[in-house]
Amino acid sequence: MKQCFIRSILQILPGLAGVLLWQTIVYGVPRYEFFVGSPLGIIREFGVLWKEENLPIHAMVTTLEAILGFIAGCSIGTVVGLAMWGSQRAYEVSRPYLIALGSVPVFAFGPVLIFWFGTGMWSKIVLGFLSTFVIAVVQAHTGASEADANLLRVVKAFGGTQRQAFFKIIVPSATIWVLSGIRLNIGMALLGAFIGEFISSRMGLGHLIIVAEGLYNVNQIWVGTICIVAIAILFHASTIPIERWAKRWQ
Amino acid sequence: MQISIKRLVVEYGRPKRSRLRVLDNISSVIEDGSITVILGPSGCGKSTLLNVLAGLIAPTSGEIVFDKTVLASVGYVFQTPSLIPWRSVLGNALLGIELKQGVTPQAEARARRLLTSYHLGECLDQFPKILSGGMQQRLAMVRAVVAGANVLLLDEPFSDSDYVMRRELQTDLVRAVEEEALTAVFVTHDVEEAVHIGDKVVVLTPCPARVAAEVEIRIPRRERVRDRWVMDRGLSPYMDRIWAAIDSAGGGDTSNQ
Repeated sequence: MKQCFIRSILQILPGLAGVLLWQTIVYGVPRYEFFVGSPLGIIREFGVLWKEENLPIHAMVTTLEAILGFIAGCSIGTVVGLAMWGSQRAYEVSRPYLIALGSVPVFAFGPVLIFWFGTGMWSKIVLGFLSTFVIAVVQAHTGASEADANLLRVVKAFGGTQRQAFFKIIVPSATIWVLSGIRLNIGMALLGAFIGEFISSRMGLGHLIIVAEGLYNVNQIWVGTICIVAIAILFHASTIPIERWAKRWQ
Repeated sequence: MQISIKRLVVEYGRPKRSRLRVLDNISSVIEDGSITVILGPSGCGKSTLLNVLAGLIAPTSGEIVFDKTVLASVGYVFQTPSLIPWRSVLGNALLGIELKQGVTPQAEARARRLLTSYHLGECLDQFPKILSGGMQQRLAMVRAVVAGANVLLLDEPFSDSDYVMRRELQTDLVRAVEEEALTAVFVTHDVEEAVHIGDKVVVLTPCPARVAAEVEIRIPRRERVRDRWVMDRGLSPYMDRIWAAIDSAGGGDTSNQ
């Protein structure tokens, strides 16, 4: 317990020192605040945005876009990846497309998606979906392929069907891989929603940042960025108990 | 459950191309309630024979005839325990029955009873990672029995265990065969193990496997397992016959450790 407390203090200290140094520099040379903002300025801007610009609504829009894109991409990707275990042919056929989709920065599709789905939430959700889908497919398929051949032999020796092997061995085996894909995809989904808002939007943290950029308001840019980081940390923290539960047998 | 193996041939490779013959005209009879040991050097085709008996491999020719008066149910114990790591000990014991017909309260009660009887009762809800190698293999054996097997196929199951644990596991196997009315086919390359637990030892030649000799051990199984040191003298004539068969068959790496 004491060790944990000391570790937490040690983790916080460098960040706190950096923030203090930042504020001290800006205090000493006030003109720097225009370029780098300041911790106190960020807090002030946060209060203004909260009261006058509906900051929680912007944050919720980005969160919702990321969550919906993430759920769609992860769930459909995982199902497709697992289903490919049953068909090597399907995997071979789809592999070049997956490699292509995985190599191209999905955000290159941003403009065309906004052209198809408009500047509302849908284009960002689809962008979030595309950013997470390939990782989910690859992780689920790798997890399924890496399943212990001896366990599959046991199921076969007991007269188990292919379906039983899938649900009792393949799916649980792939869980760890799927979970690490989920961890990667949290960032990807947020990035997808954020980039979509950045290209064209009416709401969301990306919208807030692009507006702040136009107004040369660095503190507002920082508020948007800090909100994105906070959302990412919350997403990440929510997967920790799930991962711990899934790995309890290891 | 009597099993007759008739002129069994297994070849690997594509038809009309060069094919590797692994089993060559194997014939033998496995008596009901017996432990038949298949002995031969590594790579001679012992596991292939077991896989054919389990129905995992179709023979190229020949047949396996199971006693028609009883419905055959085969349980397989592999060289590695092959337990599902994310299932509890009880969950693993129930896997076979779950795959075959679903878990009933009676099956679960039987699994609990057998696990307790084979010294696994303390860890029913634990994951297999906490078990020693020998205990894992014991669980694999219980899993096959709980699945309702009346024929137990064991592919060098105790080869990774130390000497003391191997003796315990051999005693457990003999007990399970007697108490659960099983017929067992046990593959090993250890001559000492073969004569200690087998009622009949079938010696195979190196690949392609043919039956080099069949040696019936006429000393009661229980006595052999219980009084090993006393029995070693009594068993030595059988071991001599087996070694003679191995030498004449040209077998290399069977062990007397």
